Amino acid sequence: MASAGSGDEKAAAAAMITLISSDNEKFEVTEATATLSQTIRHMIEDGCTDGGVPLPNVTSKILARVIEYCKKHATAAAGEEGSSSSFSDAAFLEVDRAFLEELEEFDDAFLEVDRATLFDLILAANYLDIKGLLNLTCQKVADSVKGKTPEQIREMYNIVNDLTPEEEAEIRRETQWAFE
Amino acid sequence: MGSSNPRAAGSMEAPPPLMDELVEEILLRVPPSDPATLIRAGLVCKTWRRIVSDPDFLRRYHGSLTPPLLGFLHNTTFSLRAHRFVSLTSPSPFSQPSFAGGDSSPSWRVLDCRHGRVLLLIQTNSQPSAESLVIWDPITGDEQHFAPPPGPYKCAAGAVLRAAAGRCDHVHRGCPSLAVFLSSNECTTWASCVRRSSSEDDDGPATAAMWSHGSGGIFHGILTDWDPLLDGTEHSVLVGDDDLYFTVGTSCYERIILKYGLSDRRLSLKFLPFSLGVDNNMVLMTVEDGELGIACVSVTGPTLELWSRHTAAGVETWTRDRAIELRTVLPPIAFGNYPAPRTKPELRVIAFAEGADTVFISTKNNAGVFTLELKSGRVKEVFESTVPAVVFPYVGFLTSYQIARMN
Repeated sequence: MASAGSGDEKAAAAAMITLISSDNEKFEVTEATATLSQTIRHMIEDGCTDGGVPLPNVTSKILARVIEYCKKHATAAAGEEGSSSSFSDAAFLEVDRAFLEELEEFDDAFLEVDRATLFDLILAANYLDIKGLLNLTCQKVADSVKGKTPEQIREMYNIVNDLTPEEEAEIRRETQWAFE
Repeated sequence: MGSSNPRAAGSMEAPPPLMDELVEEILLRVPPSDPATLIRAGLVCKTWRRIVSDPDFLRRYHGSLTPPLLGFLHNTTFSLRAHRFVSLTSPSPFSQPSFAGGDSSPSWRVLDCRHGRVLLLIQTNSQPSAESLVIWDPITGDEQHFAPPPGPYKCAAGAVLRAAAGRCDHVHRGCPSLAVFLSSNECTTWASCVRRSSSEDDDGPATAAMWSHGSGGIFHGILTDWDPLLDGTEHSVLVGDDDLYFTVGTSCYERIILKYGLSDRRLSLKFLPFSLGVDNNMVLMTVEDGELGIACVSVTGPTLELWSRHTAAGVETWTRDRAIELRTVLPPIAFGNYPAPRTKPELRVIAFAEGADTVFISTKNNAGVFTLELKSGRVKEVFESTVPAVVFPYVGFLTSYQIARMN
C-alpha cells in the first residue's frame, strides 16, 4: 500500500518503499526487498512508511550493502509466495540447487569486507531485524576468532582489555591447556 | 606481529563496539568441537568473560548443538607412560591421571567414560586386594580414589555416570557420580553401585564408598553354568536415566547383554536378538528415540548393521533399521585385502559415542580407527597405530566446566 514520491502509482505489484539513511540519502526498494527486515515489515503493517522510512542508525554506505543483500535474498523468496512472502527456510528448500549455490557464492563475496564494515553490518542487521544477515555476519566473526589468542581478538576488533592482570592470570591458570 | 600495540596498524577504521547481546550471538556460533576458542574468547575482556561464563549463555550454547566428540580413551598400550587419551581437538584439554606416567606408576585400565567422568581400575599385580577404583575428571584432574567392593572376583567391568543425569543442566560440575562395578567369580556375576560426591562438593573425602549390591536378579539361579568372561572389551550404554546395559563375553565366545537397573539395582540377562556368529563383533548403542540399539559389522560383508529394540504390550522385538555398506563410506585404505573368501571380517565396530551418535570402526590391518557419524555419514580417521579392542569416547561440552569457573 505504501507509495513513494508523488504517490501516483498505487499498483500493489510495484509498491516501493523509500529508506532514508542517517546521512540523509534516499534508497528506493521494493516492498519484497524491504520486508526482509522485520522492523520495516512492522512499520509497513502499521502504515507508517509514507514519506519514507528514516533509519538514523544506518549510514548510506552500510544501507547500500544491506539492500544489496536483501535484494538478492528477496529474489530467492519471490515466486514461491505472493505479495506476503517473507524470507523463509521452507521456501528456500523449493528453490533449485543451482540458485542456492549462487546464493552461497553471493554470501561469501558479500562477506569480503573489512572488520569495521562487518561490525556495522551486524549492528544494522540487528537494528533492522534481518535474521539471515545477522546469522551470516555473526558466523563470519565467530569463524574469524578460531585459533586466535585473546590479544589477537582484541586487536582485530578494537576491544580494550579491562581484565586486571590478576584476573587474567587466574583464568589462564584454570584453563592453561587452551593457550598452549 | 606485535602483540601489544593495537592501534599502530594505520588507517583502517576501528570496528564499532557491539552490544552485549550481539557479542553473545557471535560467541554462540563458535563450534563446540573447538572448545579452546571459546575459552580464549573469555579472556578478551570483562564483558566477553561474563558472557561465556553466564549459565544462561551456556544453556543456550548447549541447547542448540549436539555435544561434540572431543576424544577417546583406550587400553591398548603396554607402556605405562603412554597417554591413553586421544584428543580430537587441538590444543588438547586432557591431562593424565596423577598416578600415571612415572617410573613406578601402577598399571591401570579404563573401565568406562561418560558424562565427563572416567572410571579407572588401578591394578597391583602382587596384591589383588590393593586394587582401587578411581573416578577421574580428565579436564580438571579431579580424582576420587576408593576401594572396589569386597571380592573375591577374578575379573571386572564398570560404568560411570552423573547421578541425576536427566535433571542436570550440564552447566555445573557439582553433580555426584555413580559408579557401577560388575564383577564375576566362577559362576556368579554381580553388580555393585556407589555414589560419590565430587571433591569440590559437600561431604569431603571421608565418605567411604558405600557399595550397595545388586539384588542378584536371576544370576544365582539360571546361570550357574554360565561362565562370564570379562575380558576388558565390555562396555556399557545408558538407556534413559535408569537402565545400564553391558555387553559381556562368555567363555564360549558368545556375547550377551546384561541389564542393570539403577533404581531397582537388579541385574538381569538379555540374550541377543540374533546370532552374531563367531566374530561377536557388536556394540550397544542408543537410537534416536532413546531406545536400546546394536551396531554390528555383519560377517557376510563389510556392512554396518544398526538394530533397535521396540517394546509393545510387553513384547520385545528387534528391527534392523539400517545397513550401511562400509565400502561406500570408508576410504579404501580401511579395507586392506578384505574380504578374502571365508575369512573373518577385518572391520570391527569398537565403540558408540553416546550423545554424539557416532560409531568407531577399527581395521585389523593397522589401517587405523575411523569414526562414522551416523546422521551425516561423515567419516574421520582418529587413530593411526595399533588398533584397540575397545575405546571409550569422551563426549561433552567441556567448556561449561572450565568457563563456569571463570566467574
